[in-house]
Amino acid sequence: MRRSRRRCVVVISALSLAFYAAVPKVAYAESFNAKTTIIVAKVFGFLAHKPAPDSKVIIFPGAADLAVAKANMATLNVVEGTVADATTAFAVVVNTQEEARAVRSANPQSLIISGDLPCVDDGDCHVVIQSKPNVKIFINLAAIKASGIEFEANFKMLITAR
Amino acid sequence: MTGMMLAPVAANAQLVKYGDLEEMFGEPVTTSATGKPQKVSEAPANMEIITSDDIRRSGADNIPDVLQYLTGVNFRRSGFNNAELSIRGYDQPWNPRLLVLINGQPVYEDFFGDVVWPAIPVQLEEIRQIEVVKGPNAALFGFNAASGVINIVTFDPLSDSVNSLTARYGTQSSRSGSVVATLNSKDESGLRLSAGGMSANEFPQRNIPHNTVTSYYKPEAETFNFDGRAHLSDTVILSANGNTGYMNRNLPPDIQYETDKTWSLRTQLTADTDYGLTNVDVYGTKWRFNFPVLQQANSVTQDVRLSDAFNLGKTHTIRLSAEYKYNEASGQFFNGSTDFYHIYSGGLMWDWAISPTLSFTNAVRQDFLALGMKGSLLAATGLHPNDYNNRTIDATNFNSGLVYQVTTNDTARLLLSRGYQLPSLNILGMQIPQTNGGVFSGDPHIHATEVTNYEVDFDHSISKLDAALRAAIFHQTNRNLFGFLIAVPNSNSNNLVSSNIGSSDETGLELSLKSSREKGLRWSLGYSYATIADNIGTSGVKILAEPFSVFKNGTPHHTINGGLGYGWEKVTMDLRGGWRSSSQDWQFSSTDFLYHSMRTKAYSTVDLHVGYAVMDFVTLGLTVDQLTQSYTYERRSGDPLERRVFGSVTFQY
Repeated sequence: MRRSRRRCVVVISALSLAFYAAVPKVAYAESFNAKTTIIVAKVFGFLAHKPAPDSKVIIFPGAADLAVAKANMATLNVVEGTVADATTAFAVVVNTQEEARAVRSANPQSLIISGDLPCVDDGDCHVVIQSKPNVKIFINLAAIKASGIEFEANFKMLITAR
Repeated sequence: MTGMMLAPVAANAQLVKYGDLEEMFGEPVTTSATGKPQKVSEAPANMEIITSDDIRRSGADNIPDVLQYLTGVNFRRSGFNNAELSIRGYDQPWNPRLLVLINGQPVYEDFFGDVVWPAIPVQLEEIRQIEVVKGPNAALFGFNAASGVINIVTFDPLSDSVNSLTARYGTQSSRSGSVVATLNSKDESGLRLSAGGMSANEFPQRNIPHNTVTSYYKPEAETFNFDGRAHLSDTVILSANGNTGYMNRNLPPDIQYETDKTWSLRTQLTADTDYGLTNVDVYGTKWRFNFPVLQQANSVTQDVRLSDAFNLGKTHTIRLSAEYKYNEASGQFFNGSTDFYHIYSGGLMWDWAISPTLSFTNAVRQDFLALGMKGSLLAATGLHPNDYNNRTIDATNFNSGLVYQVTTNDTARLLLSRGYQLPSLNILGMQIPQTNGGVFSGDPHIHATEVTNYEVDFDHSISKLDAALRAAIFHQTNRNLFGFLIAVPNSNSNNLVSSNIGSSDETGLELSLKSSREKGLRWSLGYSYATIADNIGTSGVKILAEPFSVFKNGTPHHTINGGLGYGWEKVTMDLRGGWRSSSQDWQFSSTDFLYHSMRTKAYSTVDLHVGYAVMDFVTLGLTVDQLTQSYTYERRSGDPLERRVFGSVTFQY
């Protein structure tokens, strides 16, 4: 019996080392399609302080599916726009880190979302969503704190903090 | 702790929003692995999730039938209302090794160590998902989560509006119905009410050895449940839940019948504070148990649980927990005495996200049990009250898991866990005098069974097929196994006592492949292999060869399960089936009060369900259990199971 247990521990240890040695996957950036746009809408539902009705959400051209966004954020004022429009926005969906940086300068309080992982790593985006092959949501803790944004505790335990 | 940051988690307390999270992440979310919400693919446990769609498409009218074809789950039915589930073998009548919960509250019959499925106060239509954890998970749930855990998660009355009315009628004069109604107001407060009932004629007796039943009770069950939830403030939620249940079942296989009545009340307070997600959970249950051969008993359980979960820095989640539990049992089972225990527990869970692809979770829980009794002991037991009042049991449970996302489609898990199966009060303290001067007796000196599990899991996602492949290899050791009324003491051969009986080890393999779609073709295939080696024997007693002591042949070596279904616009059709190799089963004789061995041949079963959505809110169903045979002596140790055919109509409003 002890021999079989020892054998088991050896096998598990060997497999453990093999898993450690395997190469991790590479991150990538993505534009939001209809499915990801719905996830953006869901993320708003996990904010500790819900946006007031008609709060402005700016979507940079091509950053997300505008029609889907409007349909899934019915109580919000979803419009297509750029940095100039973001100064009064509660949330902004951008394509690139450069756009995020510009929005952050224009409106440090707005929630900035994109599909570009370096954007959240560098603190220019608050939230990054990646959907392939599995949905992963990343947040930058420092950026969120600086902008006074809070998420519900359960949600924070399901996402990856950077 | 220097340098680490306690992440502020303030405002708007929420219980887990299962629906929103599942829609967001594209997979079910669970709290059954560590106590914190996790995607199933990232949970450090071998877990199967049965969704509400799976339940509907199964066509089953009870939970054991829903779960019977899961890989790694063993199923035995010995009466219309009497089914047992076990995880990874060690199947036995009144299986004590499986802890079943509804939304985290045990519905395990503590004093007897059993799950009485028909008395579980939940309707299939109000279940969001059933989470099946394979292997010990006692570091989260404590004693009795020894072979696994089944957590039944219901819809949230705050955010889910479930309103349905279902009626079923079929062979064996079976009729059942359920109603679920929800009232809620914009996430502020909600109340869900549910009720259900069933009755049927028992499967008929046939001429099988040792069957001495003279009368059967009509299998029946009735349950009622309410589940209310309200925001007391933006950061605090109050939940209240209560239920009552009643059931009759004929026992495995011929000890006449059992009638149970149950009552339960539960209150939970969840707050999102600066110190984390804090939960206070208080419940009490009462059982009245009537069992003609062994007579009547009452049991009371009271439980208080505290927990706090919080993020520590960017990569650590901590969950602290404490629990106090009291269980007492009295009645003729205990010859008028009252036996009881207090359990004090403390636990810590630490989840460390080492990298985006690697996480390491460790949980430990210490249980301390103090046993006691009030009243007198029969002289024939040879025991003194101090044997009870000085008895304590300590148990250190742990779960450890390394989860590694090897590639975007592959996940590997290394799991190590240990849990303890507590001897129930009837094992520790039963005393029923016999006409020969002897006694049916418990023994307060019995040790808790230690179950240790070593496991490697591998999951592979096949996106082209929209399917998932899962594989698991495990080795499980069981020390200090015990059995109910299993031994004759050398000191008094008229007595029949419960006793520790030895040890047993199991090694197994599980493979499954599943593609699940609402429309189009869906299919599943599963295989499990298990081999068990017993080492039974202890001094001072002669152990009887019974299902509680001989496990090596009681679990089939090979089990194959499969499913094939198709969904059209308005019609769904699903076949589920399985084959298991031969195994040993047992029949109890009320003539000599002994179990007698019987061989169960290899057998297969196929079940069919067809659903037709007549309108958006009306669905008709037809279910056939045992499509290919009119009756079978297999998958049971009692009367043959007849084919069941029943129709259903469900209104959703």
